[in-house]
Amino acid sequence: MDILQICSLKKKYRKKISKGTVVETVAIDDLNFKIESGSFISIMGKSGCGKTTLLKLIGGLDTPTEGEILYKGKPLTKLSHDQLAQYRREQIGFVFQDYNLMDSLTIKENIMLPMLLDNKKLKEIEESVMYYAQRFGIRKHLNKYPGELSGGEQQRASICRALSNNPKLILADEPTGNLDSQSSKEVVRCLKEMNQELRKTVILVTHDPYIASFADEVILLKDGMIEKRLVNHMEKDKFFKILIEHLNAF
Amino acid sequence: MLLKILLKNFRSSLKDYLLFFIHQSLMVVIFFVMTFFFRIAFKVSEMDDVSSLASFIYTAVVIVVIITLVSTNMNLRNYLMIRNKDYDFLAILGIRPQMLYLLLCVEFAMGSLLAILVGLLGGSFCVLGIADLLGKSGFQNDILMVSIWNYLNSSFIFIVIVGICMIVNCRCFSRPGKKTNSESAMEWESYKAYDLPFLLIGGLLVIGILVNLWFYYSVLNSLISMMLLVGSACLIVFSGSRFIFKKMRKNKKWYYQNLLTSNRMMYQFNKNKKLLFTIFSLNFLIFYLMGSITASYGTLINAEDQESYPYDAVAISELKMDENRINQSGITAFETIPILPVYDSNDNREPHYWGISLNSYFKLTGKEEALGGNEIILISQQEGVQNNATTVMKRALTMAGSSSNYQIQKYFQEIIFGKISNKNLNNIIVFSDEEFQQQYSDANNEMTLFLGKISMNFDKTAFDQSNLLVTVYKQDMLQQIKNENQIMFLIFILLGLIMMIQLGSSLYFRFFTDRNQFLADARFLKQLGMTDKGIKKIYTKETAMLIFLPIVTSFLWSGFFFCAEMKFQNVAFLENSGLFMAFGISYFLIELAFYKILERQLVSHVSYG
Repeated sequence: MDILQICSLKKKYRKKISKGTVVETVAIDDLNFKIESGSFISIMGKSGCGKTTLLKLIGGLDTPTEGEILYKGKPLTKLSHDQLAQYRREQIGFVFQDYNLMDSLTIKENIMLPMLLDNKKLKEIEESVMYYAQRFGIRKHLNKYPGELSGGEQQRASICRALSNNPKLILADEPTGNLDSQSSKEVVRCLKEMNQELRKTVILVTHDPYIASFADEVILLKDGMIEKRLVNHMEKDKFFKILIEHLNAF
Repeated sequence: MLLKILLKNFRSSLKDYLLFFIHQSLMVVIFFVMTFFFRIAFKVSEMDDVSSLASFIYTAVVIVVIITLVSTNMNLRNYLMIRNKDYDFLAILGIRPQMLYLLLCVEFAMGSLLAILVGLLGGSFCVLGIADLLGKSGFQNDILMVSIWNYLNSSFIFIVIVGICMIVNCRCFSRPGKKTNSESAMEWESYKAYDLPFLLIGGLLVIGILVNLWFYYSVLNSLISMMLLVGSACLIVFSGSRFIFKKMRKNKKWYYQNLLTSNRMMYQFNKNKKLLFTIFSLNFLIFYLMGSITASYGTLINAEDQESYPYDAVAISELKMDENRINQSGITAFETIPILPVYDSNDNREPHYWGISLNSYFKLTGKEEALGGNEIILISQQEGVQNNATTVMKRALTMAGSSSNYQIQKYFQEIIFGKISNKNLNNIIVFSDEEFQQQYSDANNEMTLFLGKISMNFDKTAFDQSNLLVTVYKQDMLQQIKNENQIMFLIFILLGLIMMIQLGSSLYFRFFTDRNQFLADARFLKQLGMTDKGIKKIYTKETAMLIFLPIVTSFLWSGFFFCAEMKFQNVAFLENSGLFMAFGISYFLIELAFYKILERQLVSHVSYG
């Protein structure tokens, strides 16, 4: 079953550079693809190819210029601001490069936040926090503040927060961009775990072919269009090599 | 090359940072007006030996200088913080921090010079208006002239202030990468043990100050108490808020339901505590000073409507004088009250009490029932520390003749006509007529209180030789008091204005500096699925807290202190509070408008940023 359908999606940005001169930049150009529920998709491409824009559009943080995004068959463009907020709250979990944890809240409070916004019961919230914190190995850090944790630990906390509301779709924008290789591996392991064991659909934007090789499918973007789709039917190392070859030729 | 970068950058970014320089210009305008008043004070003190107006203006100038210094420093610091980010590329390219600082300082200095020119121009227009107003009130034109020294002095002092600020900020800028505004979120936790003790200390301090004022009221004591009160208030408000917050935090259901709002407010409160302290202190001063001047001015206005007391002159002679001599001096003796200095056994230099006879007391107060033989009835305790009757009497009479405290003139009237109740009477002993007569004839240093009328064409020379300590000319003095009060009122408005500019700009600059952080937080909350309405609500509450918390608390605090002080001075503040209320309401309306502008800007920045 398709969780997401991207139909003829276009996104243009207009920028006024001087009086009367407007420059139009095409970030996404006629994109069409479907994502199956429970899959792990990685999106790769050079800087400016539209990866983050695509993620923003899927997350309902931006509106497309043309085309449509269907989530479980429902078009996002038809949703009001409040409905989009509800969609983000209930259906989407975001993981960012810079973790986006609030400095003034403890790790526990950060993880609780999406559920509190969803007005869930306190008991249910606390159970969920404990479950994910235990699962991703940050239980002992729950009462600490983000500044007291390492980058990897912060990112795991951010993954816990993304999962806390039990969303169907996880959007990860360069989650390993700020991490060392060891922490990156840990984070990818967590992402893979939530894909395989918790059956979450993961869309991962990354520059790192090693991280991308964990995905079931890699979409290579170029100038806002799909250049290539690589499906992972083989062992990880083999797929990694193929990915490198394609990227070199890219 | 650097100079070229500098000039080009300054020209292109002046529009973005114009507000900093508008703020500087306003400071120069007020500075210029203050030098104008300073010159008036100088001229007035040349003409009049006992000019409390002059000393008042000197004090006001010092306050303005201090506020300008603090304000310019804050302004420069915010400017450096923002511009430092713009010049980050130069730091990356390897420019030395000192050179970068110099670059920014030159930029700021250029802006400040521009601000001085604009400020002097604006100041000249303001002074023209004020001079016209004062000229109509009877001030001589030669006093109201603006000289070249006004321009030079205000420019020079302002340049010195900017220079001092640059030197002060040089130190913190020499450590690149150190965030001046970084505040730990955990700081709240680290104070855990001290909140309740701080709260208690603050409370005890306030009680101590009030008890101290009750027994030993004096102007100096009052000033020191005021400063202590500001400190204790901050202690109470700051530790009290945190104490209450932590208590509420224990209520998990409430805390988590309001997690974002309460946490962000706490965070902002903690992060901006220095700013909040400054706003609180300045507001306290604004309300207190305005309360004081409007009460005094209000009394003056009300005094004109009241039935005039029948004496145009009140005099006290050092020695017992015959009425003929008094008449020669120009006073038509209307009533003479013999008064008897009563010395304390420990101090024979100054009389401790003034003794009056039962008969005189009756003449003065119209009361008979409170008297019984040698019963001591206390009147007037103005200088409570020394408890010295001469000072009391001299002060009451001197002050009645000057403008600095019209309340005391009124108070003296009340002593004479017995309008105050017995429980407030101090320092005058009423003897029975017989005993007074006996003591008065034995004493070799008697004095007489004269209440009389003065003829318009009296002989001034004869009057000066008459050994009278103090005189009060009611009609003439009232006009003079009115003039002086008018200047004071204008200066208070100016002080209020400069404080308000300082408040507004410091808050605005804080929001301006943090605007990107606000935007980042808003984006993050949006990604978490918070509605736009919810985000706006949080920012509205944050802005409201930063603006109104210090204003409301300082208003309550200064009101409390002011009322207490008025009570100690036995002045009915409420009777003369119309002007203060008008001022208070307009002040709140301005703050409300400022809040709306700030809130709208912030919300639109986070919504469309």
